[in-house]
Amino acid sequence: MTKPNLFDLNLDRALRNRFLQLALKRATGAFKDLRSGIINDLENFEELRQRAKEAKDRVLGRLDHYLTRLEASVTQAGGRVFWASTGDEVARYILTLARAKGLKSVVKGKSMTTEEIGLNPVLEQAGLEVLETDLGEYIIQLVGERPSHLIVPAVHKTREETARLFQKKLGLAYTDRPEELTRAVRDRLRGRFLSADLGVTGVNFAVAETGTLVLLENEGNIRMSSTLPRIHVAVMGLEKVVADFRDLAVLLQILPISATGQRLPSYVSFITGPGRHPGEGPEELHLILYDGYRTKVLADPDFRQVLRCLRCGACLNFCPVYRRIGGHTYPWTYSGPIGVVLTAAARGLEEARDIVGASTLCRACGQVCPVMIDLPELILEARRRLAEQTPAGPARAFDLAAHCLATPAGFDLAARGLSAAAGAMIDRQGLVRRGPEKIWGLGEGRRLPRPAEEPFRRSLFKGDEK
Amino acid sequence: MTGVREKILARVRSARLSKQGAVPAESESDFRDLGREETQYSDEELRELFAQRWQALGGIWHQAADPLNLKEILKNILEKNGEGGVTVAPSALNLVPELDEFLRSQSVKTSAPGRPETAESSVGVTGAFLAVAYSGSLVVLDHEPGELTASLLPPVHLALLRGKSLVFSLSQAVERLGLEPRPGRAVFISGPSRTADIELTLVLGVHGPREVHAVFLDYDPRP
Repeated sequence: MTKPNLFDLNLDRALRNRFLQLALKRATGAFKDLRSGIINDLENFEELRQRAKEAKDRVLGRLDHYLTRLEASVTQAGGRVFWASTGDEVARYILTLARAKGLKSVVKGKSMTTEEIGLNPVLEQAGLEVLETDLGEYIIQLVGERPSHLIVPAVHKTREETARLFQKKLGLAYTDRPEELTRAVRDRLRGRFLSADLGVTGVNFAVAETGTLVLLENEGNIRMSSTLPRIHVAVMGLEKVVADFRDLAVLLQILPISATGQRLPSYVSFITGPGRHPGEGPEELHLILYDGYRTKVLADPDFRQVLRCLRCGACLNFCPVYRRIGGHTYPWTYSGPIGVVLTAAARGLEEARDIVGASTLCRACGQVCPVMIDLPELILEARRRLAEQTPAGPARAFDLAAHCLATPAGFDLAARGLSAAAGAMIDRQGLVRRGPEKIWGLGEGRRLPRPAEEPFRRSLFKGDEK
Repeated sequence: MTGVREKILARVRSARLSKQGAVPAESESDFRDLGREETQYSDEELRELFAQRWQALGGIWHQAADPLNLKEILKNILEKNGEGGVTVAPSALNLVPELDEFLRSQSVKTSAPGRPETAESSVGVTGAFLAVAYSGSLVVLDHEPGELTASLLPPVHLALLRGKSLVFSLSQAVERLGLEPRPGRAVFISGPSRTADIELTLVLGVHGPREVHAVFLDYDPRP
């Protein structure tokens, strides 16, 4: 027995956490129902998926063209564009900007890209006050955890846990009513929004043609972060660029339906350049075009389709594995089927090794993906690549076996040998026990029947001979 | 800095070279919007659909038959919510110029948009540039100062709306935003601010308004 690895421990912990099981079931179930409810009203949803896929492929096929186009449009609108290969470069740019402009307090909108980079700790170590302002992100920032779902980052927290957390960290009188907890956060953050120097957000879509950044949300914290501070930095992965308003309209329809079953969330902001009036939009708008792993994945003909991902979370909600094990069992920022595939593509097969096995291949993820990423096939591809890396010993054994079994004589010899070996392991009940138990590590209940006296293929042809 | 830019673009270009298969063509999209059968909606049907979707999202719907009726509607809303004062954005005054005078007569503190005033007001009044029936959304633009904050900071947002601002689809709305004069910022507002981050329990009014009113002007406000 090898000692349990981190994945096994996390898996165990998740499966035993009764609240987590309930929370996941409720949350993913609700999202599934909302999505299905709305799609049933729409005749041409499959056509929309096709269009959404094309819109993303259009850009990925000529990414250099669309990125330089975006850069020109944003610049023309009065924004500034910075290119970053690494998360480190993103953080350093923001820090340099903060130092140059004397920015101290940062309000942040929910952004998976900055989670990926691990931006907050770097900014905090440099002395900036960084405040996550999405309610779920605010909760997990208080406990120092990472999001466990793309859309509801604190899905793993009970209301009681949140209540105790607010009691301890915010000095709030105990209440576990979500309305009161939410109101407390609203009151606390209001002043912080009004006095913040810098707003940092992600980007859902960036329109190359017009330089418009599009951000979707339900709470209003992204509007606050992008409207009130005097500087706004938007961080986007290279793949978020969209050709024009036509493609945008398609993606704008499919993302919220897939994410929360809403036709649109409460707020969709279109941001082109810095604010036009004092106090209404920032004096400076900075757009960071971040690569990280994106160009690497683009060069991989199998995996490049993951760059279509809109981060909607539909594949999580429909995944029987995610729905049991939750987001924290996955090795990296992203969880669910897309997390498995992104981890394999971006972080390497080794990091994805354990989680790649945790799939039932039920194919639901591929069917709900709004941009038709073939997630099940990519999980298999990751497995294939891992299998190709199998160490020499077992690989040689399999080669030898394949060689022997390819000829009738070899097969016959192998069958006889195995039959004789199994015959030597018969127990008192006349079943083969030691093999399954000792060799494969299966339980005692797993037994093989006694090998037949005569091989099947010989008895099969007996009739013909007669 | 340019170094990084060139390196990223070079990586993109070499990735494309190593790719098998064709680059997707830049096809002209002839896509029909979800459920879009534009011609099948009369003005009334469009308005009904918008009202229905807006209310389903938790928005409050009013229809003002004439200027007098509008004043009654406003009066009711202000009686309930006006204690902190009202901020009126220019787009609302453009639609209903006598609004300012009326509000001043209502013994509520009225202010033009400005950061501290808007943040303290309990009601923000704007016009809506567009209303999208498909999603039940109002669109507010930054053509004039104060629109963005008046629709965001006060706990109650009231938007005035004309029949000719109604469109069915998101595509139509997005297309309109691409026409000159283009806004710097546009916000689609679909109901009150909301969250479900604690145990997926819906709570209205997080950072944005908890109450949103759409007031449809069922008359030509500027004859």
